[in-house]
Amino acid sequence: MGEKKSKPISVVKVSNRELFLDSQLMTAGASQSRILEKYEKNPDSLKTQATFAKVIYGILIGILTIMPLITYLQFLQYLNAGVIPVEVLIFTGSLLFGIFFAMQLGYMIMGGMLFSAALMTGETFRWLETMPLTQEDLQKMSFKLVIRSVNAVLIAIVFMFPIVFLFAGINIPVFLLSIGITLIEAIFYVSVLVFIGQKLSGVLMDASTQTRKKTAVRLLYMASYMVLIFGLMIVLQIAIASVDELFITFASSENPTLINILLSLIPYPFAPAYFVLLCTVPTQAPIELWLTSSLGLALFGLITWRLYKRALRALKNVTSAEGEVAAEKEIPIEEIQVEISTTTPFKAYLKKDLLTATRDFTMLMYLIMPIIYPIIMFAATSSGIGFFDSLSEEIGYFIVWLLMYTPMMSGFLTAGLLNVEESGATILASLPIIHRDQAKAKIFLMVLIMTISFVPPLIIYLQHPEFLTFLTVVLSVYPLIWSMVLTMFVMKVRLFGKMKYKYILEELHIEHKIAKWIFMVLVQIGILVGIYFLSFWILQFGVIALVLAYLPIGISALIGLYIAINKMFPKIK
Amino acid sequence: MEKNSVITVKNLSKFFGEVKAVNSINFQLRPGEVFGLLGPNGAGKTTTIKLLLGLLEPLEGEMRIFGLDPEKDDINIKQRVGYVAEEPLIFKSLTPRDLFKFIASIRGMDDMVASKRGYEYLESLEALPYYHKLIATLSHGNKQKVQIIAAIIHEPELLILDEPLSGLDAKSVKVVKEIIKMHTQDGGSVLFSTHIMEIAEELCDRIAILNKGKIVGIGTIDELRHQADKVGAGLEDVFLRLTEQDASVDEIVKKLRASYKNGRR
Repeated sequence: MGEKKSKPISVVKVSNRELFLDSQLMTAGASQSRILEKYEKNPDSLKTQATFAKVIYGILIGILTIMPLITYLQFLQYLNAGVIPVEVLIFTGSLLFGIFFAMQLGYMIMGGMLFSAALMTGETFRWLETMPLTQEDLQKMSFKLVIRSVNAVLIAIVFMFPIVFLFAGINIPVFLLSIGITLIEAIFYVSVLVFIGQKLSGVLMDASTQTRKKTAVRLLYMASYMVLIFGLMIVLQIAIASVDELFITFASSENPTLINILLSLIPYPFAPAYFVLLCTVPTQAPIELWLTSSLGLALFGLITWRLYKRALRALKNVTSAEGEVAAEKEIPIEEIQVEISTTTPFKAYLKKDLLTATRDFTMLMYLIMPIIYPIIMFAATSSGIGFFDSLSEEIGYFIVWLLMYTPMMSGFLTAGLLNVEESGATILASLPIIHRDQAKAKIFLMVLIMTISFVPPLIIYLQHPEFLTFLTVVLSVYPLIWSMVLTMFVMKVRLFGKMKYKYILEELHIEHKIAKWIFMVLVQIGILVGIYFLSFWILQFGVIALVLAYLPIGISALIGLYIAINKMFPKIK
Repeated sequence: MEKNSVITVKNLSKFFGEVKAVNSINFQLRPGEVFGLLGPNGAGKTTTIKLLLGLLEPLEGEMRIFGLDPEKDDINIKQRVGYVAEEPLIFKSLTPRDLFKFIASIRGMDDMVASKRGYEYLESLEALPYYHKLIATLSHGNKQKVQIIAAIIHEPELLILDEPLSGLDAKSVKVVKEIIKMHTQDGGSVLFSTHIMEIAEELCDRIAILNKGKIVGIGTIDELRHQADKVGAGLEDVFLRLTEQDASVDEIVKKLRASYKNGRR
């Protein structure tokens, strides 16, 4: 026929996009149909989005390099000044380099884990297997797919850290040596990514979820990624702000020879960190530290090699459907018991939403973000506690931070809890749903999460001598916060779910969707600005006046919203 | 409105902008009857069903199910209706077990009755092995089985089935057809939408053929043959004639024959 044969590698491009879509669908949960609709309208958006995501993570890693750069500049400055012992400088510098390496791994996981999970399900290879490709071709493709998914991140990892030594001290030998180390790290990261993808695909695609224990594990597993992500962000913020302070703090400590030896033996992330830093001061570094860090680095190389081999094996397995079939476990039919226990509609809606959240990454994000955001914000700004001239000023600062994210959190909760119904549209269409019960369950969860989300900031203020005042302010502001989330809920239902004789929680009027959301967010911001102005004005008269003003305003708003919601969802006999 | 009808539709219309999805249609579904809605893609079958379930608001016309208005009395109607949609959107993050518990709770069913029926239907449709698996991981056919069980677990008086056999294996198709027959023998009624002529011919007592939002033929198969002026013809030919697609099909076949003759193989 004379047709040009496609090389396996050219198929990688197609598979790459396919996997990117799969990775999005795996976590989209209730929003899957919307994602597919979007790609149907604009197929190029898939390519753009995939490239954009990669580049963003590459840039993030690049920005992260500020940390070792500041560290190295400080290190050189104190070294030249000669006021702090070299061992202390090595300890502090290596510690910070180590933290940087660990954070790189975290970002790498963040950037590639979903793609890797989609790859490790093996779905893409099921249709590729039907094509005239050898098992070796498929294995090569799988490896190239992983690399391709994080290529921008890998380039940043390999080159950005070594560039520090060119930029800060024009040290070419250390620059070249650190390229070698970052290359090993890159292989290590890719291997780790493959394993994480394998585990995550198991959790996201696991069909056997019959036990509560498994559901709990699934939830914890998914939440742990977010804890990792946000933990890293906090570390970065603190580290950048405190590098200089750390050098000075450790300068007053005892000689850290033993700690240096122990840390430099830890293959990752400290051994490479120590080794690179020792290379910048080869003659001043103690010989025993050279030995231990070399040993730690050799161990790191060995571990990386073994991990790489295992990752290759995992990739080989995933390209073959045989392994998959063998891995499937069937429960004998005789052991399956059908017990359909019923409960009240309110509890049934609650249970459904919570179950969905444990198995739907997007919804879990929507529900957890309102709790995590205040923790991050207050952890990052906690250094300001106790540094204000007056209590009123500090309360003002506290209120600004406390309420700043309320519009966003209201949006997350409303979108997350109401959009989840989309994936069950058929079932909901057929059921005799009393929308009041459905709304009650959603409102209960929204108010509960909003209430919980303001507890962590309070814990941070536990150390404050005026803790009780802060507690009182939070308690008095609760009705206002609940009013904000309920306002969002009411607006969403009115704008999207109004019918001739009733209101529904599902989206019926999807026209001008973006404009409607912008309007809803603007209303929330307007309310927030109003609260800010009011707070600062009343604070002139003292904290008690503020509490006394918040409570009646908040309670009045709640009563108004209660009446509005009751009208929208009347009692049905 | 006819008193004994399970469903009565009079001059019902629904437009989406310029598109006349449903254009002044009339039909009745009688007790114990299987009434088929037949039509090409985009004919207005699914829109009609959505209007009957109160999921869409009509532009004009009247609808009654059990004598009730779907727009105002949707809860009372849905207590007595089971619905299988063309696309099974059935909470893919749940397992069939979670889903049936949710449905039975919303419908206020008794635990024992729900469990007994659930088991029977799961067993008869060979869906027991999937009882604890996430719906997202099931094949289209197995999702369809779960959706069918969800629609009949409360044993409703009226079944509204939109392409219910799509994706099912031969054995399950047979079982579902038998369930439909038993349902009507028991006095229940079925509104059945399909593309498959053989199934419509086998199951439906009366059929309405929809084309571009309008009913172009209605009645028993024999009545439709007369309307199409195709006495003795199969439902497929009757359908193509009434939807005015017979000429275009002939044209397509002619072109394909010419292409094959010109040595494509």
